[in-house]
Amino acid sequence: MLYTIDHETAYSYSQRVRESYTVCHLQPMSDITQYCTGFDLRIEPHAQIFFYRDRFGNEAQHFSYLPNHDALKISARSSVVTARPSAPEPPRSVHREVLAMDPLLPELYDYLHESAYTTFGPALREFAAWLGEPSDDLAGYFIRAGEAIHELFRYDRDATGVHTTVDEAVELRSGVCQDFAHLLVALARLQNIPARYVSGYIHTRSGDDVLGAEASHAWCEAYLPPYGWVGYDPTNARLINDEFVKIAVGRDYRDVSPVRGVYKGASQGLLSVNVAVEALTTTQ
Amino acid sequence: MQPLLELYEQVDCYDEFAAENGVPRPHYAGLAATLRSIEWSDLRAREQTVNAALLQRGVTFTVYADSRGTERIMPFDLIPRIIPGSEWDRISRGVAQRVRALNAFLADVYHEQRILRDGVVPWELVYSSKFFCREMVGVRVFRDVYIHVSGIDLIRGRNGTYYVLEDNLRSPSGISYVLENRDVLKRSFPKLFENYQPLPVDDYPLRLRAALRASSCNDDPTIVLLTPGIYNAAYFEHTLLARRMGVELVEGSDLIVRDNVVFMRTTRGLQRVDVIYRRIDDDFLDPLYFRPDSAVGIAGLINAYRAGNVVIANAVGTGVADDKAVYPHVPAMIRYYLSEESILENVPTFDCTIDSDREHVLGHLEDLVVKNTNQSGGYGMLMGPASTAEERERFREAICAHPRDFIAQPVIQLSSHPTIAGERLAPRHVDLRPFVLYGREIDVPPAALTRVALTEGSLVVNSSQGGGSKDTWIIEDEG
Repeated sequence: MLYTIDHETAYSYSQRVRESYTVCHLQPMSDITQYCTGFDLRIEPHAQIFFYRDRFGNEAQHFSYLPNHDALKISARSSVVTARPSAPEPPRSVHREVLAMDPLLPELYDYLHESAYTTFGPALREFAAWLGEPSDDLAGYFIRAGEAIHELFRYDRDATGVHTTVDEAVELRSGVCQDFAHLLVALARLQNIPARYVSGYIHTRSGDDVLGAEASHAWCEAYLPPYGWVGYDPTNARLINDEFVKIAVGRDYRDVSPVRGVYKGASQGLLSVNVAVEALTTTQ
Repeated sequence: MQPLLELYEQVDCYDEFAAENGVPRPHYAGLAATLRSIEWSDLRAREQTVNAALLQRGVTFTVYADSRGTERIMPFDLIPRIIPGSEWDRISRGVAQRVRALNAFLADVYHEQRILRDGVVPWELVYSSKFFCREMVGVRVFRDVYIHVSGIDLIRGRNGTYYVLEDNLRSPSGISYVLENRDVLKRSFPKLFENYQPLPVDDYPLRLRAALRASSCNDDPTIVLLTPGIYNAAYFEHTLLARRMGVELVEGSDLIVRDNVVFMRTTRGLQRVDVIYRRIDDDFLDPLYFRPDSAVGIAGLINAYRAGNVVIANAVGTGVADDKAVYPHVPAMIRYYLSEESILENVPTFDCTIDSDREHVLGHLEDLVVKNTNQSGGYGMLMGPASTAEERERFREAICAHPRDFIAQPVIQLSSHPTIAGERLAPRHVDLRPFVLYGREIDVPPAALTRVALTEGSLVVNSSQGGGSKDTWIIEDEG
């Protein structure tokens, strides 16, 4: 599938601010399942953009704008080709012993432990206990946990905020894709399955209702040898297929937030985000 | 005349000054002769002069968690500690070796991680360290030098053997005492220096500047010293070093990152900065990447650093190598990276994450020193033999709850040294902190800090815990 994505982030300030420093994770990644064929980032007012690859392997962009300003707009346009199956086979029979012997395992420390947004609190542990033990199939557990989130949690944009923890979301039994992704990440890690947070986009051509399509989306990947990283979207209860575009991976939202920054000034910024994903029809 | 030395009674440990038979060691013979010729009242008068001079110069530090919350001068004891050249030679080779290995460890854990892959140091240990800075993974630093300035704390056991007690690889302080103690003592009490020509310490700032210059790929770099400000315990030291190096003393608000390059605001506009000798913790360096509430940091600094546009000395993330739980592995690092045996020994250390070690620690709390791996400066420590049952219980609970946060060591009877105590000279325990500079090559200036526990019997020398300091003379061997 071919996508073009317009992702616009605009801040406006009631009083002027200065010395804005911003880091972005807006460029879709290139790996064996997708390829970013074009990426263009524009800042208004104009600022020079710098790039680096972060330690998770993501492309990150940063810029600063020093003079006084009362608005800042970040416009990203990307083109991506995805090469995932539209109906992926669910992974089967991933045994604990195979994972334990995996040579990559020690390096995945950060994906096996708590992080700022994925703490193992009492509400999470209670939910995990209710889910039961993974038995012998870790992949089965991962998908079962994702399905349970989809069934039991209400998608509610007003219930949680950008800083909601896993425990709060569990207590509320509601949230948005970010909360559900954090929850699935935490549940997997609690069972010693390496898991990471993924930010990206979802788009369906068929027009069937998916949640999270109007903004950036988030899901979870678990490391399940011999399959490697397997992605599952608990918000829409589906394995990651060619309707998804991946931007970045990390321990949690904080590592991959699309736009974050600091500035000087007393004013609180008003944020508006606009995402438009367009699928290009290909003729065969 | 008061018999200054006749009353000196040794205690049960290695005494720097006197051999077992009570006779001064050869390198102290000259000092002993001088002391015999000095009136006690003269000594006390000099002491007052010296302390007044130090206070006037502002050689102070702040004690945190002290309700008085005020600045004090670090008590200075007039009786100098003397180290013969042959001994210093071994010490300087030992600390240089250690810093070389620790630096290699940092370059390794932030890149290839060979030592972890080879199972010499556990993955878990590094990744669970609060000081393992993930932002530094994959970031190249010039010449692979991370530890531009370090202070290695040494103590001597019963038979006089030097042990490394602790490596300080973040921003070790104390060099200002070394510089000021020598200067003031020389001016106020020249008679003490009869028979001795200690190696000079006053070129330390120039050697530090040379190391900082060498840390940059620029031939004539602009260096600044970044201080958190006047409320920092070591602010006096920051001002002294900046002045003596001839570099600007700056706070975070004096610096700004523009187009990924660091500039200093000056009256003549912005001036590019190449090297930041920082005396603030990693956490406060850049609100964009670390603590967002940091008021003393510089937004965008890490971006400029990652791009190689500025040198930060010490490098960001050195704390993982002086984590107290990593310390027991330093001899293994020396073997692994240098194929050498340690010149200076480690103190035997119990790792509370290992079941058998933890059992031993919990069973022998009253015999051990327990240290929190996340704290320094003598804070968060249990001195077993001097502890109360209640304190031990508190540590027992803390160790069981967070074993990664604790190590334990046997109590080492630090060596003692004659020290003015009331109306006589009495043995008080001392340690030694040599400073190690690393720009292009490793340089160990003969400027070491001797800290002394002024309370009788105390083994804690930290200034924050009521320790004082001594002038430390490194002398060349005769013949």
